[in-house]
Amino acid sequence: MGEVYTADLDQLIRNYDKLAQLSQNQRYNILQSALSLAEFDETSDMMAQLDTSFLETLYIDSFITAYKADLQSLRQYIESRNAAINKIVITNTISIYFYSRSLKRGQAQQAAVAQMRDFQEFITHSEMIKSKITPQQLANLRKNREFKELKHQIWKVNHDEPYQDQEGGDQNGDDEEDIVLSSQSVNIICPLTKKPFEHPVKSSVCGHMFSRDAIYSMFRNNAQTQCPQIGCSKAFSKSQLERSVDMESTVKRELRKRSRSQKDPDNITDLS
Amino acid sequence: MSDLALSRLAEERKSWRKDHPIGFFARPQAGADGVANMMIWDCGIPGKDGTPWEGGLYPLTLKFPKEYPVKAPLCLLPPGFFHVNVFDNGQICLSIIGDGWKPTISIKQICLGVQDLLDNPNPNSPANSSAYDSFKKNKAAYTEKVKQQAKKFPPQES
Repeated sequence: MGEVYTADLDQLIRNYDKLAQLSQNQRYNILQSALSLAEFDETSDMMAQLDTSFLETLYIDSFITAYKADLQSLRQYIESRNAAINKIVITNTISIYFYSRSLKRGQAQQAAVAQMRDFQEFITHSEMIKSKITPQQLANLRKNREFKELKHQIWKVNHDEPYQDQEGGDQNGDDEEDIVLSSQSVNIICPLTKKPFEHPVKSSVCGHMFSRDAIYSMFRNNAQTQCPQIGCSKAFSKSQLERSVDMESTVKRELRKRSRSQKDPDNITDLS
Repeated sequence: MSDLALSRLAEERKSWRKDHPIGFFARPQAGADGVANMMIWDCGIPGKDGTPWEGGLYPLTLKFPKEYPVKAPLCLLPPGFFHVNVFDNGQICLSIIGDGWKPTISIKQICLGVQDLLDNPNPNSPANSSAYDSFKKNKAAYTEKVKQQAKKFPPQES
């Protein structure tokens, strides 16, 4: 009997996983829309609307997570009960006596308390979802890491300089790294292919960047390679190459700038 | 595969067309069928003014292996070329296209490197005994030989 209950619960939990996935997809879509919008007008009112939509999905996410946790604790409770019952069935009468005693006295009481608390949370959570998001909650969600990442990415569409968190965010080591990257960002040409980077990867040993497929061809016969950059005497292995998301967006931005200036008839120089 | 080699050579071609040092040329060899063979390039290296090499446009052939740019191209001057660091078969002994090869080195850099080598031979790794002996023992005869050779390679109109 107990198994049936947990199977139903598992289904419910899976449903919440799906919801979380949908919510994540939604954020991805919003991010893509915001990036496209930023190419035309980053000061557009629509940008603020997209911000709010993004925050709302985060808000919904918090329910999904809470509900899922509720269901999981309920499931755990039922399982522990099932386990106890199964043990009772297979043990002898003396054991039954002890088990029932312990169940009555300790576990059962604790379990009952846990169950009560869970139901209380269910009620709180379901009350929350009926309410509309308040400005205060919205403001709090702006501090969310995912939201900051969104703003950061939108910023990078049109700016070379590192993103300054308007919320007065913390200046940590990561920002310093960004400055180094953006000062190099003028050069988006891979020294191996002599073309703009495709899937740029960065050597963690010396910091030099290459297009992924080109540098991978250096490892065909060797586990390690000398850095192909002229004047660099470092050596590294394939595993010491990291994907450079920053360079990816820099290349995107630079290429967009170039295609824009090519469309501009006053700007055509020598296209031969 | 050699996708990288071909696309890199196409980019080298583009960048050479856009900008290359004065007096030099470099282009893929035209095959028998008239189609360019990207893996073999014909180049012309002018001797530097004010040196005995002046006035010559030395034909340099670059043969690119399919592993290019991981591996260096084979760089050949005409067989029997008179230079301390050029083997009988014309192969050039030069660090940047030998042990010191870097996949980032461009065709332009190779050409400039070869031009520089002409009047700055490296006596520490001689490849041509007659040029080496002459260079070491009889500078005047050496210079004269170089000047004579320059006349054999007049710049062609192209």
